[in-house]
Amino acid sequence: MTAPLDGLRVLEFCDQRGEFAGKLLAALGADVVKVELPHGSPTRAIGPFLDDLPGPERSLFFWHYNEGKRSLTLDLDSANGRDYALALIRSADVVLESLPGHWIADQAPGALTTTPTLIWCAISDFGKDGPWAGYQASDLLHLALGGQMMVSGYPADDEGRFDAPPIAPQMWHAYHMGGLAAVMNLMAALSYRDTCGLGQFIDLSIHEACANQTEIHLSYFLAAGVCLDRQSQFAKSVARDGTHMVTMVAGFGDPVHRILEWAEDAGLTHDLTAEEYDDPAHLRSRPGRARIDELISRLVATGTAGEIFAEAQARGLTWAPIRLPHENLQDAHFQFRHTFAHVQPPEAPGAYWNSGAAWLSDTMPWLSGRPSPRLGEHNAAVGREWLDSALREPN
Amino acid sequence: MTAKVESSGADVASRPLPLQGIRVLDFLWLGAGAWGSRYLASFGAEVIRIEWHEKHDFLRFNRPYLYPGDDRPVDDASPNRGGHFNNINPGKLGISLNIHHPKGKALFRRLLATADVVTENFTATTMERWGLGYNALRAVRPDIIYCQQSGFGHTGPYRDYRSMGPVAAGISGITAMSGLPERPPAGFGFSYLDVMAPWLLAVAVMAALRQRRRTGQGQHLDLSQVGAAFQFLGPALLDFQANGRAYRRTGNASPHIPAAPHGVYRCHGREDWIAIACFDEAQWQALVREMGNPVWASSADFASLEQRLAKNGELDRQLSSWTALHQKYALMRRLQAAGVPAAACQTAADRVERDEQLAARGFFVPLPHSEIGEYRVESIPGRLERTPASAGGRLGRGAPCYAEDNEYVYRELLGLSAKEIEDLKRTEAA
Repeated sequence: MTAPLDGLRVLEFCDQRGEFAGKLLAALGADVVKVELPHGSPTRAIGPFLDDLPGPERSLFFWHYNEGKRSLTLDLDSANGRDYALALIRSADVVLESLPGHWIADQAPGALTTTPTLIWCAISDFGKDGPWAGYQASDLLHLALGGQMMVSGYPADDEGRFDAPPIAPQMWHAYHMGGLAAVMNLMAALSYRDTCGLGQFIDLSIHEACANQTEIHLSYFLAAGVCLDRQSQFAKSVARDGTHMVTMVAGFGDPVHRILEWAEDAGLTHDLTAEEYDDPAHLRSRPGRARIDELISRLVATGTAGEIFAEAQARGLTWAPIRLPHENLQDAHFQFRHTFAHVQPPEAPGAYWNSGAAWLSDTMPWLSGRPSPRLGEHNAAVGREWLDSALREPN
Repeated sequence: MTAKVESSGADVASRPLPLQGIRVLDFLWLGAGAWGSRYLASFGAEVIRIEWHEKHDFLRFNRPYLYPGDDRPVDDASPNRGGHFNNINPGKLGISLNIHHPKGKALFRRLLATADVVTENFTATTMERWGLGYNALRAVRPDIIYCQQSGFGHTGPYRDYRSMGPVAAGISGITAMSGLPERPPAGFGFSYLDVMAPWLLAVAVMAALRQRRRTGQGQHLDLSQVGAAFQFLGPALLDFQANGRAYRRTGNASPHIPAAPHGVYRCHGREDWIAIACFDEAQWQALVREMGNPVWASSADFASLEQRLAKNGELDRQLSSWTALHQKYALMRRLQAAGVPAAACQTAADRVERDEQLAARGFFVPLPHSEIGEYRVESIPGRLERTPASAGGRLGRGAPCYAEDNEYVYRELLGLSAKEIEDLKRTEAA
């Protein structure tokens, strides 16, 4: 099976702001060559580490965000290193860069003029222009500016008071949003290039990606001038084994009816009626919500998370356990769907399960299970393959 | 400097767009999913939403409602004023079509013969039950690209399970990773996967189009909203297996890139906050200077990053008492100018009305709408220099009113006569 980006040469000059985008391109089949300074990308120093011992081949962050790439070291401060980089760029289909202000970022205009088929995707915190273009950011700061923090955390009490500050969702979501937005734009640019042979520059602002990603919050304000507060994740009920459950009272069918039926079957006494919830406003009201939530809590407590999950779904309720990521590794559903792939990262004593297929298809694979590269592992190979074929047709 | 791009119909029609010439028959509805085809439309694809009034996209009717800016009459029962619907669906065309009616199904097949892509986010067996599964589709159009996105995917033990945003975030692990360690999970205050999974869907469709260009083959893609989440969860998965450590919530701390201070601090106002992060000594020293070199900051307790981390609580308390005197934006500008990473915590109102960067970049775009007049949407993240995306699609227009494009699709694309269209309407086929 060929992959959609088979043969596409991507040269990556990225820190944490762009590595996720490069990883997605590798999973789509591109030959992603990650250029690192001789002592390694700074992301090799991001934890957690294997056995909690730092080392350039021991960063679990680096392992995940650089799966499937190759590594080439260059001294970009030296004339030789810079010449080599420019030669690689002339041989590339795509440059993916997240180092605004660095020498490499300044090469974009010249490179695009030299090679009109080149696509150069520049990922920066705020974009190439504007009053904040020179500002510093981080994952936390992006989630502050993007709007995620002000609607996340613990909702207010009945008097509208908060007992905790806004809390940023974890981990690294600003770079997931920026990276996925970058890849969306890259795929569009590739479409254009496939039809007419022209590449282009892509200016990707992580801030704009984040600002786009608060689901109903912006549309609520744009339509009604209303700012919604922190929203609950319907996660108050606790199963017998201590697991929190998501227990939505929403969706098609009549969830209230089904909950009451289940309560009856479970022998739970209550004084709710399905009729009182015929008016949707009752469910949205505090007392109406509180009454059904109390019954749901008692219902959820009658079984383990697994039992409640199975029973609820069998009854057509939109309920699920709140799990930690690793608690899905043994789940037969995710195994069936190749959600995880076996990979042996550098220096790991064995293979681990990491994220696998993003889709299932008989004709279009998602490549997973390929480890992140050791520092400079592919210096010789890339030089041989990319620079000896400078006269080849663009992909 | 990348220029602001206008989205009016006349202007867009003359511009090259990356997906021009691609036709998508779109059954993506509600929240999760529908964003995906919005991006395809903004890159220039002709996205035709297929709807039927017997099972309306309920977002058409959900609050908040958009009101016209002028004094035109407003119909409270209109299916065209839902704020979220109009936010998620700009740039798409809309037709009414009853695919359960034999004539409706026949029309669908005629359209299908001219289409490149079919997208849907129904529950797993729906399209098959309607006789519109992949094999049925490719019998009409052999190289069709059929992209489905359901909650748990089209196969597997949970195939028929119900999912919405909080379920997907809850079971995958996204929710459990956010909040305070000693309290229950807090998660995102919205359905993060409802927009992220559709971004992945847009990538999948464009990848499939490329795959088809190169192999000549149609494609069948089975996506899961829950499955998408794991692309974001690698380090937590690996930490458990490599180090035997279950993920533990850390609030706003930054354990993996050490930083202190690192968190949010109250500013002047009822619920005004600023995020501040100092990753090195230069940033910390700049912060200390901005605070006016207070005595507490020069204490040996805060001299190094390690020491500041050890005295985290005290550091945050001291910093808070200073930030509380300042307005969040003024403080952000001042600290950034001094070289300190700082960012106001913005609400939706802040992003629309006070975010100078989004304003300078033309992020909020007005689009025309047949019933409402004009309304604003956020634009697509990313500036393609040669072929900029259009928030209103090829038409430079907001979301479609119900059946708005019947005339175009049935008369112009399929060549039906006015009488034939009237018959279809009368017999509830379209």
